[in-house]
Amino acid sequence: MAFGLSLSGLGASLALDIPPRRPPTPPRLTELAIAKTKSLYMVIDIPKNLAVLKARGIAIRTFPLQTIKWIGDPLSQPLSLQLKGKEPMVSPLSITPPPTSDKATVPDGEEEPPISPAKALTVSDMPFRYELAFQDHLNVIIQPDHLPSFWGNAWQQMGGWKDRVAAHMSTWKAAFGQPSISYLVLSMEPAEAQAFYWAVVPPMPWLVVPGTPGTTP
Amino acid sequence: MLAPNRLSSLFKPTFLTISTGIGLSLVLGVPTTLLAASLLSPNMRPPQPMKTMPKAQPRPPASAPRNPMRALAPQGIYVVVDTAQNKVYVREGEKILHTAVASTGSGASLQDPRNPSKGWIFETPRGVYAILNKIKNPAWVKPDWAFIEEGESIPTKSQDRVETGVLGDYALGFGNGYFIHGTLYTRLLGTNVTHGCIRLGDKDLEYLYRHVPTGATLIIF
Repeated sequence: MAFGLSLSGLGASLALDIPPRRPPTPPRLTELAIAKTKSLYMVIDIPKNLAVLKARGIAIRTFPLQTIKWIGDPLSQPLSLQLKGKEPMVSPLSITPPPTSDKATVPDGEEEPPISPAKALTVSDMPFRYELAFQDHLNVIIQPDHLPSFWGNAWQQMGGWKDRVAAHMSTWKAAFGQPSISYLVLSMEPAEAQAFYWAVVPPMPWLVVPGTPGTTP
Repeated sequence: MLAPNRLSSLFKPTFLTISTGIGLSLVLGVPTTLLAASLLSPNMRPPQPMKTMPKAQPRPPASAPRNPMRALAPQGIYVVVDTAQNKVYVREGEKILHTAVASTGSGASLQDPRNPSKGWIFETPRGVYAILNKIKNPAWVKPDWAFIEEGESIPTKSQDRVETGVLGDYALGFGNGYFIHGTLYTRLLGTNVTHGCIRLGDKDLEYLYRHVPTGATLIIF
């Protein structure tokens, strides 16, 4: 058969050498596999400029994305990933038990709550600029476009610039035979970025739907 | 405001111990007449939440279009808990039937003085769960951390761990010793203060008890 085809012309023999391209998996099928689990999962829908926290196929929290940029090679087809870590990490605050003699006296029999609100981590304690690492060759940088204060904004811009330079440098690893890392830079409102940090917990599955930002209403 | 990373390495290896240790001896239902008898048993073990099979869902008619994603979605009434905003939503499909202010896990950590490599992190677990059981007049069987946290010695008798009247009128269990229950500290509703359970005010708790069936899906994020 190969002999016959090579006789029929150059075009046909080339077609034999190139493996048939598999059609990309539709995002819906990729998501279906994730939605069957008991995990919460995040869908980064680039054409819709949205990050959607989902469970069992239903949206439970939506995060509007202000801008979406790629550093390195952008994705060409839907990619499912698993969140490995967050940088910086927020460590739990520790409770120091009181000595027995220091126990609080409580009026009218009502007990004092063992944990005061001051010892709790809240969403406002979360960072608004951070990096999310995955097991595959993709990292996600979250940063707000603007902060309310001038100096805060200046620091934010410098920090964002530093992150992006580091990301660009890491994409050069491919030139030295090392696996390259692509970066997806997502910007959102500071409060949304903090809520996003709170919402994503390793090893949460993610699905990135590629495309041109803002092309789908 | 953020704590240094000093505890992260300490607690990483004992994560399983942490998550199960919080819950196992948290709550039991108080059938008040039975409580005394059961407490007197010298070998009393912390009661486990009863596992209840989710109710069977009716099959869609044969003519209905097959949408695999829709088939995965919770059927009927389900509960969504937002731990960042400390809100509980009772939903049916896209519709929100009820919204309540809650208290969820503080995220704080406590070291076990008996074994410094162990400890607890008081987080509300995230993910998809089911309401496994519903209890009237629950009582709290205080686990070790409750005594350690208050600087008290851990009692040797099981009955010394039981505290009644602190969990409200109802409790809805969702596994591993975690419950949606009431609270005496209503002024703290809306804040992250609990040891992992989800606290509600009396009226909201009663709404959930009456309207959310056993087997209903619970989504915590």
